Amino acid sequence: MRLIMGKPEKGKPYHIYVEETEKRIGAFREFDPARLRGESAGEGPLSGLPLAVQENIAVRGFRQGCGSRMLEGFVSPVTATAVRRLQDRGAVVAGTTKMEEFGLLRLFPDGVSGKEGGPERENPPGGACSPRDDGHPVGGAASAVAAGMAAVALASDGEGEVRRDAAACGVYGLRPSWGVVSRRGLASVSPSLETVGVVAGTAARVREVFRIIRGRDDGDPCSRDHPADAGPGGRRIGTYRISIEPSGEEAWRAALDSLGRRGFSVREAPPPMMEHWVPVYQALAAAETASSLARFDGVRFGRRSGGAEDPESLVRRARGEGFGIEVKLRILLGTHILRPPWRELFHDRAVSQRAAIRRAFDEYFGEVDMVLLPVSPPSAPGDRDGDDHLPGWRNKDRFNLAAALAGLPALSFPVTTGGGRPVGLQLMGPPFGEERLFEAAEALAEDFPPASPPGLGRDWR
Amino acid sequence: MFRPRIGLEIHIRLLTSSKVFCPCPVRYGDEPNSLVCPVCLGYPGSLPVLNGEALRMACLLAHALNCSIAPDLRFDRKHYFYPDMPKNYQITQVSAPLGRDGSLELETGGGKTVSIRQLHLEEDAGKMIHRGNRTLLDYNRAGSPLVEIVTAPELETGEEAELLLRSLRRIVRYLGVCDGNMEEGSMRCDANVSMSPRGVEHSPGAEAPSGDPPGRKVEIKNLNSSRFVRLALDYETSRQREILRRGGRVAGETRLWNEAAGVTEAMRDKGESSDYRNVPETDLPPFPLDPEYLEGVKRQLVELPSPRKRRLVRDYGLSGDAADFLTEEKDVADFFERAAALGADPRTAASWLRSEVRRILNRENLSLGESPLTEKRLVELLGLVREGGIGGGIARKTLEEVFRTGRDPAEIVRERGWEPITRRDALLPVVEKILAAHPKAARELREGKDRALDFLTGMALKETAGRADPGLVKALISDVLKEGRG
Amino acid sequence: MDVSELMVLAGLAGIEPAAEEREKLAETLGRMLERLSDMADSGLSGGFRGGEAPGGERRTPAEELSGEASAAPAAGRLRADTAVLFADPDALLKNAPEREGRFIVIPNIL
Repeated sequence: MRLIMGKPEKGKPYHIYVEETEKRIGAFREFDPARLRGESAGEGPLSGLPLAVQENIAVRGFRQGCGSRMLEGFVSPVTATAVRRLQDRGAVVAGTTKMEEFGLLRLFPDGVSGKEGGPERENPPGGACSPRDDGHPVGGAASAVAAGMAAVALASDGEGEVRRDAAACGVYGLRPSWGVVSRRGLASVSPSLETVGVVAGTAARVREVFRIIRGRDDGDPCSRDHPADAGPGGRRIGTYRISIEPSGEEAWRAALDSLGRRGFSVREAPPPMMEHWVPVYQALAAAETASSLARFDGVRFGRRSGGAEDPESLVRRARGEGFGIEVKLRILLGTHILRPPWRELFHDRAVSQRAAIRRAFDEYFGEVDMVLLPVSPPSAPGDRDGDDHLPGWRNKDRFNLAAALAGLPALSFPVTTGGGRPVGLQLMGPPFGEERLFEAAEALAEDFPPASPPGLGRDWR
Repeated sequence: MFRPRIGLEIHIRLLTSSKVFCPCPVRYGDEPNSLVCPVCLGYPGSLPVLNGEALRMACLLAHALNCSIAPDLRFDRKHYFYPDMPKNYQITQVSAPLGRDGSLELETGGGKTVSIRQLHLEEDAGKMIHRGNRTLLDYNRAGSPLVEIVTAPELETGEEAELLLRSLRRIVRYLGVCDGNMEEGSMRCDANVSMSPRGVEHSPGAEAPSGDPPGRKVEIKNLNSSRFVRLALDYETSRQREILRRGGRVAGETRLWNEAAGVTEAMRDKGESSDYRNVPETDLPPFPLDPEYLEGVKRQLVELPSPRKRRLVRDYGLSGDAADFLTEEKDVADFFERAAALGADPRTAASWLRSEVRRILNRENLSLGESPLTEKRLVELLGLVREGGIGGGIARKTLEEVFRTGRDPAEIVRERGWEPITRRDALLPVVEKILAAHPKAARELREGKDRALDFLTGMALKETAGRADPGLVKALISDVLKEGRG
Repeated sequence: MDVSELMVLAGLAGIEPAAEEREKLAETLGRMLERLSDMADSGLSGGFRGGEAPGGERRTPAEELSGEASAAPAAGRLRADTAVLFADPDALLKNAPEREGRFIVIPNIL
């Protein structure tokens, strides 16, 4: 507890540091390390380390707002399993962090009518994190870690949010294999596509935290123990040529170069069925979202609008006013494609297609041990982005989707080249292959040491 | 001209201690919203975990109904917005129900067997109480385990439906999976009624012709007792027959049984979509129902009411009615067989259980298991009657004393001085006294009116407080008269 | 998609979109569906013109999706039938927007 409770050896007391930094960053939704101090074990490998938790992951006594107006005032009475496991090893929950509404990228930055769906639409936080080149704000979890306000953060990764935010902030973001970290307490939007992910300043820290939170949880029937030996040792890296803008390309080459020099073999090996990833993901995510978000209706919890005269309009108005437009779009799309005849045409086929993608990756990882991919890179100038303001249709995001579709682990890591700004890349491996991802990332860190966060972060082990 | 095709959809609430997907208690009478948790309230981040006992009970019932059982247990989400559904979807089984193609024997003389289309496991909804312009919601019941049983539309009368429910009720009570109490909602029933022209044979399990006249399917709800089921179906089949007879069309709709008026009434059209957008429940991986597990459950099967009834008639020479009574509750049948094994005469034992014992149990509001009457005590009592010579009246009094004091019958008889009087020398003075006291009857008897014998015997019994051996009394009376002494 | 179709869909989804949003929603959804449609036609979202899905054997969507998001899914697990009262029931009621005693209240159609 020395770092939070005691007098720091140097620098400012933690909470003062956060207070000042927050004026610039605005990462936390609720910052209150004292609130659950009593629930931390006190001792253990993470003793005293501040943990930031994205506000769609349950923490007892904190609002589980999920970035949505729909959940205004909703306080969670339980703590998510992943968080509790960290508390049991001494970590202290510092607070909950801001996020996009249910993790979905906003598409209409100024809203549609001026009537916003989310609590606020912040400007990209400056300082610790480079503003995202696509204009979207970075999630609070990665910002908190990058700014030295938290040693580690837990956040959700459905279509790459953890990796994208970590990349933008120059820190490390892990999306674990599906089923290896308990989802109990995570307000999932698309359960079979989403995991709890880890953000930290170094690969070693990510690995340490991952080893603590992983493993079977009786409260999540889909969770399982991580098989002991799957993973370490693989050194064949697959990659392929894509067209991205210059600094991204530079980072790309630098990383490949570094890996080559450190005993990894690199070969041309495009991952399978790439052109299918976006539409299949879209169909499945939409259907799952429509299902998972059905429970938000203003009846038992959450926001109600006044004046409804019957249960039906109560529900419709609560959801109409509580959800932002991106969430509505996804729910409506999901509802639509679950009705005949679209159901057969899109949803059911997407399900089969997903299985095919998974099988194809099984084969693929026979040839290589990991694949190096960008994380939401901007395209090269002149290249069509295909951006069209359709939720999740952005081609640049497609590299993140394979992990969701096939349940694969992926680790994003920062590469800083001469240009100065870190570029995010990710390594993706076969199921349960996290260890080899950490190995590679640590090797790369020798050439591209992660920026140490300012302030208190420097004092942490 | 038209033959009714009736199918039932029965929901059975399982007797587990906790809910089907969370550990909240399954209890009644608690304060509203006190048996709830984030899972059964549909909180974000909550996940369902299957109750193993609910699965066992569902499998047991599926076995008892001769269903073929799915290779693994898979759940689906059925979506609809309704305030009593916390997640606005129900976790149920749509694509792969636990049991299919079973059968249930009706307990009639004809022994008709009805096909069970499917049996599946699902969660119950909460309760809504309407009060004026507001509705009160209580989620204590939400998430309780239900087994839904769907029969083929092979029933033809209200009576058959009532019999089916009664048979099912016995079975679920025998298995200990449900208490079968329709009035309390442990068993709920909806019915589907349509008419098909006679002479058109439908293969068992086929759908009634839909969309074409004359047979559109009508669903009847709000049937909270097997009696209402019979009345409602009788009414509904008449109603449909009448419409068709006049050349009209039966509208496919949902109707409610109005008990007070004795009619079914069309429900206010909710415009409910029947498109539930079912998807697999991805939060619950399939549970393999391997042969080992199923064999283990099958071994827990008990002999069911119908076969047991037949066996009792066959092995013990009982009447159908007696066997029917004994097999109504498993513990009574068990008691009976144990008593018979200890030496009680089966018919006598059955008769006593059905009459005196039942009367006292009802009066004292006890079950056999709770009462002081053990198999041994019943056997002893019957033995006293048969060999020890105590009369019916004394036996009944003794039985009451067993209940009152919890003592053995022989002990009671001894203590209360109720032993039968069987010695000539003890009875002779009594007989002489009676004959002397009732000269008219004595004279009538000498004249050959046998009726007087019963009267005089009765008097002697009364005189001895029921202890006199009636047979001996009669013999003595005859002797005395023969000797010309009375 | 036109606004009236949108409103039917929204009804099914339990959403009443604000008047100002409807056009935009309808238009965007329309484009999304077109895009999906195009991709289906070219076999990209799994809309194959005859022939099998790549990778061979056919299974039902239910089989595909149930518990198979992970490469090696957890086998189904069971919970013992032990009743446990939730530790903090008052916290649950506190989240309810409107109550009457311990009941949660919603308006009723008369």
